[in-house]
Order: sequence, then C-alpha cells, then structure tokens
Amino acid sequence: MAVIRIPVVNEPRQNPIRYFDETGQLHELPLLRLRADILIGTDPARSAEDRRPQFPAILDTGAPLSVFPKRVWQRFEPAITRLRVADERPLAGSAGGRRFTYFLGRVSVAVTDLFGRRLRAVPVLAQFREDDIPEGEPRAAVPLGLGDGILEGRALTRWPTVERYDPDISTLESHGQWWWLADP
Amino acid sequence: MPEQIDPRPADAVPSESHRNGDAEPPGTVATGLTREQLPPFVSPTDILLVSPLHREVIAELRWAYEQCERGAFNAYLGQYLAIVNRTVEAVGDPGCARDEAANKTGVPPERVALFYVGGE
Repeated sequence: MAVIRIPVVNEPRQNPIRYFDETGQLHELPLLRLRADILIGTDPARSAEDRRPQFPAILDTGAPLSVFPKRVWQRFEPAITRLRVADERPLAGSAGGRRFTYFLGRVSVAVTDLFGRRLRAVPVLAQFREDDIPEGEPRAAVPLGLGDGILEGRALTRWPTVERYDPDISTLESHGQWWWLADP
Repeated sequence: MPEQIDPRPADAVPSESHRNGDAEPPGTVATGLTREQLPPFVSPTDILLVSPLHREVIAELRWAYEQCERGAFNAYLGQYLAIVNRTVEAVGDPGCARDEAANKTGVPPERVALFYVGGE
C-alpha cells in the first residue's frame, strides 16, 4: 500500500461571486478543485534516476476519461501507444463548449503529492486532443477522469476535517476536507 | 519496498503532531503524516518517494500553490506557468513555457515546475 494526498485548491475567479446566506452573512463562492501533479512514463528502476517530466492536472471524477490537450501530449508523444478504434470514424468530443477531434491512446502516469510521496505509474487510457487552441484563449487543463485511469484499482478517500490547514502545507486551506489516493 | 530515505523537503512544514512535539516511532521514515491524518487502511510508513530532482520541482509547486491561494496568480487565469527558484519565468503553452524557462535559467527542462492556473 502506498498513499499520496490530493490537495484541494480554491481556484481564482476573475469576478468573485459573493452571496448572503440565510442569516445575512456574506460569503464568497468557492471554486474548489482537486489538483494532482503527474509524471509521464513508466517508473524507472531506481527512484534516484527518475527524470520524467512533471505536468499539472485536475482530478475530475465527473469526467469519463482523462484528456490531454495537444500542447501537453506533444511533449511526450513517443510515450503514447495509439489505439485503433473498432469502427473507422473520426472521434470527436467537447470540453468547455469547445468541440475537438482526438485519438485514443494509452500512456503511463504516476501521481505525486506536495510532500514528495508518489504512487506507481499505471497505464491510463486517454483522449489526446488534436485541436489547436487559438492564441489569446485559455489553455486547456488536463482532467484525470474516472475510466481506465489513475483511479483504477485504487482507493480515493475524502475525509471531512475541522483542521483549517492542509497537513502538507501549513498555509494552504483545507476547505474542510482532506483527500487521499492509495494503492491497495 | 519504499526507499528508506528522508523525503522531507528542505522547507517542509512539520505536521500538526510534530508541532505538538510528538516524536515519530523509531524505525519509521518521515512521511509527514500521522496515524490520525490517514484513513484506517493506510500505514503511515508505507510510502514511495519521488526522486531528488522531483523534490526540487515539488518545492517550487508548494510555493506556487500558496501563491495561487493568495490570489497572486489571478492575472494568469487559464495559463501554464513555468517556475524556477520561486520565480515565474515563462507563461503560456506548457511545452514552450518549460523550454523558455529552462533556457533563461540554465536548468534542464525537467527541473522546471509547471503549474496550471485554473479558475474562471
């Protein structure tokens, strides 16, 4: 069993949304996301020689699959095994109101946390986007989805906590929740 | 078997129990977590650790997460930041930003920490 922690981050908003609760108290609407930092490629024989590139990602259990934008996967294309679809047709998906074509593939992904723990690399089935995002538009994130991905065979645990801060970074708010991802 | 080395990043903050003065049991590695901070089915000593290179990258990321929570990155919504020595060296596409930061600072590209500023 190996374990890492998954940090919850309150992402910034250009225009923060504030609201009054039932008692008239003012609150700011949170924009919480589970963040994960990943290493691409199979685990090297010795940790000391590990020079895999790190990429930021978002753990998204609402996403059916993991998705890599073109500008991300182009950096590790040789590590991707392209998969053939059974019926020959172009594959298309959408994210954030934007449609894109993609190819299916598999790549090994390891996850790290902010203390320096890691989980072993596992093969992840993913959509590899083929669209170019125009200059000036927000870059796409890397969602790590529910199917055939880094959660496969692992336990994702959410614990409510009254501790104000994250155990790994004493200034990072816990937002009332601590998350772990563990190998069986 | 997990590597038996001290994984504690140079600027690691002790966990709550360490701050309270509780010593770790002898023979365990410094995981940064106490029994109380873990689900019951996880042992606090059974961990895998990142490489020395990735410890340096993670130190940059710790800084980036803090800055993000403080709102310091609000101007970079939807962008990838390339960070070296707690400095945002390049902004934009992940690949280009990483290469640009590596060229500017003279570190290998894999030593550059990439951080995504989500939000909306």
